[in-house]
Amino acid sequence: MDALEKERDGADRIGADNLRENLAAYALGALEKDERLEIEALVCRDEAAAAELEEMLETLSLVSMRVGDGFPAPKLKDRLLERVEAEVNDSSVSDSTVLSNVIKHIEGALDESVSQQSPTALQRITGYLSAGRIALATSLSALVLVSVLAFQLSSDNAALNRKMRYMEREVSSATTLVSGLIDEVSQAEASLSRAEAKLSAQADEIKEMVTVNEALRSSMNDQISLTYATLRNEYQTPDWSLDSLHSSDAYVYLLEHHDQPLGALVVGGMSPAPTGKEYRLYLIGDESPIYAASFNMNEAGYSTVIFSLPSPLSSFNGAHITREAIDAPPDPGLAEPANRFVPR
Amino acid sequence: MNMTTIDYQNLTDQELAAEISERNIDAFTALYDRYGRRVFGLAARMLNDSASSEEVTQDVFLRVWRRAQSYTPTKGKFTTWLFRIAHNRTIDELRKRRRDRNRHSSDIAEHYDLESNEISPSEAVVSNSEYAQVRAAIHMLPPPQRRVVELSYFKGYTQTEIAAKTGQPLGTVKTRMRLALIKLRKALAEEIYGE
Repeated sequence: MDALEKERDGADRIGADNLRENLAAYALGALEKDERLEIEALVCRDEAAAAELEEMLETLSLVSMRVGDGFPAPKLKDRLLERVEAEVNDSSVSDSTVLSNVIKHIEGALDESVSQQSPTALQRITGYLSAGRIALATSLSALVLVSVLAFQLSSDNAALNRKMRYMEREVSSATTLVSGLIDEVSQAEASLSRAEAKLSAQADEIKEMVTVNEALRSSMNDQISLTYATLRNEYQTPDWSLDSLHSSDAYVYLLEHHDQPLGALVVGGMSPAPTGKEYRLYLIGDESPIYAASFNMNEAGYSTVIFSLPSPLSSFNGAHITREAIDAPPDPGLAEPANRFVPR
Repeated sequence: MNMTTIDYQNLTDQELAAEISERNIDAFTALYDRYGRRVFGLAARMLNDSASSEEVTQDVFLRVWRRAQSYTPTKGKFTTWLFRIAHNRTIDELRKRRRDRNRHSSDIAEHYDLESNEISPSEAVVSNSEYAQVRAAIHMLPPPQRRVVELSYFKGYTQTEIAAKTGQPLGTVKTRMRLALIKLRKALAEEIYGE
């Protein structure tokens, strides 16, 4: 124990000793309120002081009991018991009045039936009824407790009900929202179905168009073949071939007249020239390209052009087809070539 | 039917207290029959007023009825608890009277004089032997000690008031009170311990 603790312990002992000097005054009722509170605190923590005080109080209670006897008015007892019974009735639940009356009825009936036979039995029964009344009071206290618990449970239940109603509203809102979404999805599905049907129809149309196209192409080829065959009576076919095709689907036949300085160009499969433009044929020799003819594709997708040959085709190295503005003069520079032909 | 008769008069104080804490009016009635006169006697000795004493007695027993469950047998005898309530309630009444001297101008403080050897008519007809024993024990005290017991316990003065009233230092008053109680206990040992 260090010095500080010793000093504190010593001060506590002195304080306790001073307080213990007041134990007798406390027992005699001779302390002011603050002093009484100090003593009550002391005996709570000091068993020796508590025992000493108890001895003093015990002695004085004997003095009080024996200091004198008296004769209070008999009405005092009656008044006191009336007060006590009133408190019992007040402290019971109001419903106890009914039960109390039932007990009184039982008491009355028993009194009437038993008293004539056995007063002792009546006394016992009355004693039991008294005990029963106490049990009833206890039961009623339990009833009050149960009522409080029930009220608490009821409050909790009410809170749960409120929460459930709130959740029901939330679920209802969510259901409405989901229902709306389902409608929207149904509408979207219907739109999609319609679009699919439309696409399917368009695909069918495209197929039909392809079929038609194929038929047209076939027809065009037939027409070109027919034209070529017709021209073959007067024209010969040089041993030229396409060197490169800017229009992959093009069919091009270049012919030379047997007797006259004329050339013939049979073209199919090339797209029509854009508005304001036309195709132009140039023959390429040792010098700059020579303009030979202008043409465009007809509605059937082919064209046959007869043009003058400045010299036999054998004097040329090849031919070019360009796409040029209609109003522009021929461009030997071959600025916008379309197809080129070269001898084999 | 299996029934038993409860004779509350034969129950101990602690058993009655237990019954009262269970709101047993019959037990309460038995307790009043056992101690009502003594509580009234204490109040009457101190107050010298029958009506006030009855009022105090009624208050004391109502407190017992209402607080019986607060009595703890392990902490002391039931009578110590009961007469502590009775004494405190009577002291309160005395002090209230002292504060209200206009209504109670008579000198009630001098009513109960322990130094007097006279016995009132009521004392003469009740428990004379018991009373005589206590009175004898009090008379055995040295007068200064008897005086502080009289002024404090029976007249409701605080130790500070007694010091002022008697002109004695407060420490002396405290010492006298302590010694008086020690001597009283020794004198009443037979009553207390059954010796």
